[in-house]
Amino acid sequence: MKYQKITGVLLSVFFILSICFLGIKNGGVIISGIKNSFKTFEAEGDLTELQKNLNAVESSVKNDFSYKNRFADIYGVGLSVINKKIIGNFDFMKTEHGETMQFSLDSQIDTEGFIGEMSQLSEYLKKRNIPLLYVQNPERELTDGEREVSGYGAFYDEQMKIFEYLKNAGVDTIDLNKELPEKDSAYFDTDIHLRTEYEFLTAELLCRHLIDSYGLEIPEFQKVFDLNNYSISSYPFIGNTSRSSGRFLSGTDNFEIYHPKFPTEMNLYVYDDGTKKSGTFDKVCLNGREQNDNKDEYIYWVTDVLQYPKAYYEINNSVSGPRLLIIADSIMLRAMSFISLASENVTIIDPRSDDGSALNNALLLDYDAVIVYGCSSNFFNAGNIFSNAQEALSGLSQKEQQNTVSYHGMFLDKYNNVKPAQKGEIEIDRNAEAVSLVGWAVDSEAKSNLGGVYIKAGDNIIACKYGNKRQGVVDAYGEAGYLNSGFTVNFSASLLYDENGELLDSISFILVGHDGTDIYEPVEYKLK
Amino acid sequence: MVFSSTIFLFFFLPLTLIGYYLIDRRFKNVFLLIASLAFYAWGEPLFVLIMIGFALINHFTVLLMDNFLVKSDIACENAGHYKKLAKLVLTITVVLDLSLFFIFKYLNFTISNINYIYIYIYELFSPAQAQEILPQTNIALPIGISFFVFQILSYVFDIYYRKGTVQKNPLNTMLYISLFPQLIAGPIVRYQTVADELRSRKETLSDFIYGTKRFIIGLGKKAILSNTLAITADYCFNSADYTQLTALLAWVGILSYTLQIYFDFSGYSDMAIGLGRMFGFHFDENFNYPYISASVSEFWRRWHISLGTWFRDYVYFPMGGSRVKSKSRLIMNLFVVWLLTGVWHGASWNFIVWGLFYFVILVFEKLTGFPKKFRHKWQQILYRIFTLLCVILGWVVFRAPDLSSGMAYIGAMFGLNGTFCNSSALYMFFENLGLLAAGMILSTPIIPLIKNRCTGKVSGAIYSTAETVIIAAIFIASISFITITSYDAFIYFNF
Repeated sequence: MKYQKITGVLLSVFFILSICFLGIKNGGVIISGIKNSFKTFEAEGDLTELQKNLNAVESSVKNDFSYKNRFADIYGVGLSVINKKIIGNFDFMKTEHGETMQFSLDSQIDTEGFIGEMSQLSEYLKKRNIPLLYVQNPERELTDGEREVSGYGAFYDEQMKIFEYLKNAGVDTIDLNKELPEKDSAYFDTDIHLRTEYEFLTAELLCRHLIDSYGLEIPEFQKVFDLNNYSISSYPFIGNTSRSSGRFLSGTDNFEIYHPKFPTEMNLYVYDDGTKKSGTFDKVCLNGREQNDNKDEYIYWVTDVLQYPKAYYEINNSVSGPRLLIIADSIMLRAMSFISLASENVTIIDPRSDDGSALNNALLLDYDAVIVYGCSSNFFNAGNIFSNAQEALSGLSQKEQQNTVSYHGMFLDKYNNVKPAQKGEIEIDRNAEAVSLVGWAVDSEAKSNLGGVYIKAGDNIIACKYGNKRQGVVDAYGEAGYLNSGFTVNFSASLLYDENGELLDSISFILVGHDGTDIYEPVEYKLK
Repeated sequence: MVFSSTIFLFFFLPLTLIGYYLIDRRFKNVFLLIASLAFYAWGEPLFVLIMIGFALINHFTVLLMDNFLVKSDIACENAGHYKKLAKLVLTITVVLDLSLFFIFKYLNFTISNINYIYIYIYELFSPAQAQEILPQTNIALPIGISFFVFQILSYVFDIYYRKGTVQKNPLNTMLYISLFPQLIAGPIVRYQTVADELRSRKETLSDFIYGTKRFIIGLGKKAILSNTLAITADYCFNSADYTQLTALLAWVGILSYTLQIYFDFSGYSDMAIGLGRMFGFHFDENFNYPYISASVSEFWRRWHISLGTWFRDYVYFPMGGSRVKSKSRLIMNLFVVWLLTGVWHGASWNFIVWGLFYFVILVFEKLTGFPKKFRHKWQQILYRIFTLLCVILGWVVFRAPDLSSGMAYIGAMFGLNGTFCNSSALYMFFENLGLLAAGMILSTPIIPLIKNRCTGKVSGAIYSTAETVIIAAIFIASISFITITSYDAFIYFNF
C-alpha cells in the first residue's frame, strides 16, 4: 500500500505538472484565440459565430502545439506498435515500398476540362510555332490494396488518360515512367517531391529532348548536366508527408543540395510580390532548402526561393540558351532550377495560384518551347486558365498586324484610391509598394463592352480585371451595352520602375475590341 | 468542450483544478458551477441559458412539491389533499421537462413523419403530388440534453419518492445538473448518489490519485483506441453504396465500430468518474466489460449501466416490472422500456428499431429462460457467440445512416453482395488486425485478471512502479494522438 501511494502521488504530480507545463507553453495561442473570438462577438453579436470561432481555437492550438514534432514521433511509435500504415484520418499512408505518401481520396481530376484546355493551348502555340511538351510524372510504387485504399490508383489513372489523349492528339509528350532509371526510388520517403538526383535527371532529360526534338541550342548542356561540376551538401530531412508520423514510422531522408562549382550569374523576378534577386545560382534559385539553424529535420518546404502559392516567376541567366515557359506545380520547381542554369530565360507559371492573368501575360511573349508538367489535383483543376488566356490572346496576337484604330472611350478614375489630378497623367506615390487602378473603358465602335483591358508597363503586360458594373457610364452615354465596362487592376509598384530603379515615363492601356479581333491605339498615361 | 481536446486538457482542467483547491471551502460549489457553465458554454453558448432555465424551473417546482409532501406528512387531516397537490406538481414538472425535451429533440422527427404519412395517404387517393403540410423547424439539438434532462427527472422523482433531501440552494441544484465531468455524456448520475456530496464532501489524496489514474485510462481509451478505430469504421460506413461492400470489409467496419463505441463511451465514463473523484464526487460505474456477457440481458446490465438502472427504477419498476400477473403485461412493460431506450438515443427510426430489436431478444430470453437453462458448456459458449452477434448486428442499425442502409450493410456482412474479398478489403483487414486484436483483448477483464494473478507473486513496489509507468506512458501517448490527429468527437454527445 505504501508503494502504491508513493507511485500514485508521483503519477498525480506528473499529470498536474504536465498539463500545467503544456498549458503555459500553449496558453498564448489559447488566450489569443479566446480573445479574438469574443472581439468578433462584441463586434457582430452573433452567438453562432462565437461558437464556431471558439471551436476553431482547438485547431490553432493543435497546429502550433509545443513539441509537436516530438509528439509526432511518439504517435508514429504508437502506430508502429499496432502495425498501422494509415496515418491520421486518412491523411498519409506508409507504403510497403517504404514511402510515406499523401492520400488522394478527394483528388478528383476534371479530365475532360483539362484536356480541353490543353488542346486550346496546343492550338494557340501551334499558330505561333512554339513547341509544346507535356510531361507525365512517374507513378509511385504501390501494392493493389494501397492503390485502391489511398485513391492514388484512380487519381493516377486519370492522369494517364490525359497523357494518352494528348499523345494521340499529336502533342509532344515525355513519360518519366519510361525515361527515368530506377524510378522506384524517385520520390523521397518522407515528402511528396522527387529526390534531388531525380529532379536533376528530369531536367537533363527535358533539355536533351529540347535539343533532339526541337533543334534548340543549349550550349551549356554538357557543363550543367555533368554532376562532377557540382559540390553536394546534404542533411537528414523529414518532409511534408511525415510531419505527423515522425521519424520512427516514416524514417528520415537524406536531402541533397547541388551547388554548381562553375560561376553563375542570374536574376529572379517574382511577379506576385515584386521580389527581385540577383547573383549566383545558390542565391537566386537554390534547388533546395538550407537546413535551419536549430538543425531540425522536420522541414515542410523543399525550396527556399520558389514557394507555393506564388504564381509567376522569371529567371534570367547570363548564358545563351533557350527561352522557355514552364507551366508546372511544385513537382517541377527544383528540376526547373537546373533547367534555368542551361537557359537564357525561364518563365514559370504555377496554375494553382493563377487566376489566368499571369498566364495571359506570360503567353504574350515569345518562347522557344513551352513545357507543361504537374501532378497535383489543384494543378489539373486550376480552372479554365488556359482557355481564358487563349481567348484573350487570340485578340492580342493581332497586335503584330498593327490593326489599330483611334480610340478615346477610356477613363482612369483612381490611382491608389486617389483621382488623378490631370487627364493622361498619374502622380506616383514613391513609397507605395502596390499599384491599384480603377477605371472604365468601352468599345465605342461596337457600342458595347471591350474584349479586355491590359496595361503595358515597360516590358511587362498586366491583365486588368474587366467587366465590373458601371451604371454611370451607361447613363452618361445612353448605351446599355456599356454596363459592364469597369476595370480594376492591382500589381507591384516595382513594375513601374526600370532596371536602374528609375520611374518609367509612361504606361499604356491596351484595349481589345469587343470580339477580340481589334486592338485600339494604346492610351498612354504619363507617370510623374 | 470535450475531455480529449487540448483546450480542456491544457487550459480548462489545470485552471479548474488549481482554482478549486485554492478556493475557500464555502465557495467550492460556486466555483465548480461557474466552471461547469463555462465548460458547456464553450460548445453551446446559447443553450447554456436553456440548461440554466431548466435547472431553475425544476428547483422551484421541486421545492414546492417537497413543501406539499412535508405538509402531507404532518397535516393528518389534509394529508391526502397535500399528497394530491404534490402529485400535481410532479405531473406538471415532468410534463414540462418532457415537453421541452420533445421540442428540442423530437419535434422535427415528428413533423417529418406526419408529413410522410400525409403525403403517402394523399397520393394514395389523388394523382397530384402532395406538398408537406408542416414545415421543419430550425431548432438545434443542445449537446447532452438527453443526459441532463434525465438527471433533472432523477432529481424530481428522487424527491417525490423520498430517496433524497430537497436542495434549498438553487446553486446546488444547478451544480448537480451541470457538473461538468458528467454533463454532456454521462454517466447519468442519480440525485440520491450525490445529494450528500453536493452539500458536503471531502477530497482525499487517495481519491485524487484514483481519479488521475482513471482519467488517464479513459483518455487513452478515447484518444488512442476509439479515435483510431473510428477512422476505419467511418471509412466503411461512409461508403457511398453498401451494396458494393465486400463481406470482409463490412466485418472490418462493424468490428471497428463495435470496439470504437465501447472505448469511446466507456472512456468518457472513466474520465467522468476520474474527474468526479478529483473534485470529491463518487459517481457510479457505467460499464462492466459488456462484450463478455453470456446473454443479452447480461449485456444490458454491463452496458451504459446508469441508463439501464434509470429506466429500471423510474419506468420499469413503477409499471410493475417483472412481478406482474400476466406475461402479456410483462411483455408490455418491456416493450415500453425498450421503445423508450431506443427513442432516448435519438430521433430516428434506426434507434427505435434498435431498441425494439433488443426488446424482441429480451422477451425471447425471459420466455425461454435461455441461457440459464443450458447445462452444457458448448451451449453456453454458443449462446455467448449469439449474444455478441446480436450486439454487433444491433450496432449496424445504430451506426448506419438509415434503416435501408443498415439492412444493406448486414447483407454485405453475410456475402449477399456476392463479393467476399478484394484487394482493398484485404488491405484494410491487415491494416486493422493489430488494432482490432488489441481492442478485443482490452475489452475483456484481462487487466484485472493480470492484477489478481500478480497479487502475492510480484512485490508491491514492482507492481506499483510498473502500473505507474504504464499509465504515464498512456498519458504521453494520448497527448501525442490528440495533438497529431483531428478526430475527437464523442459518439454519445449526439444524444
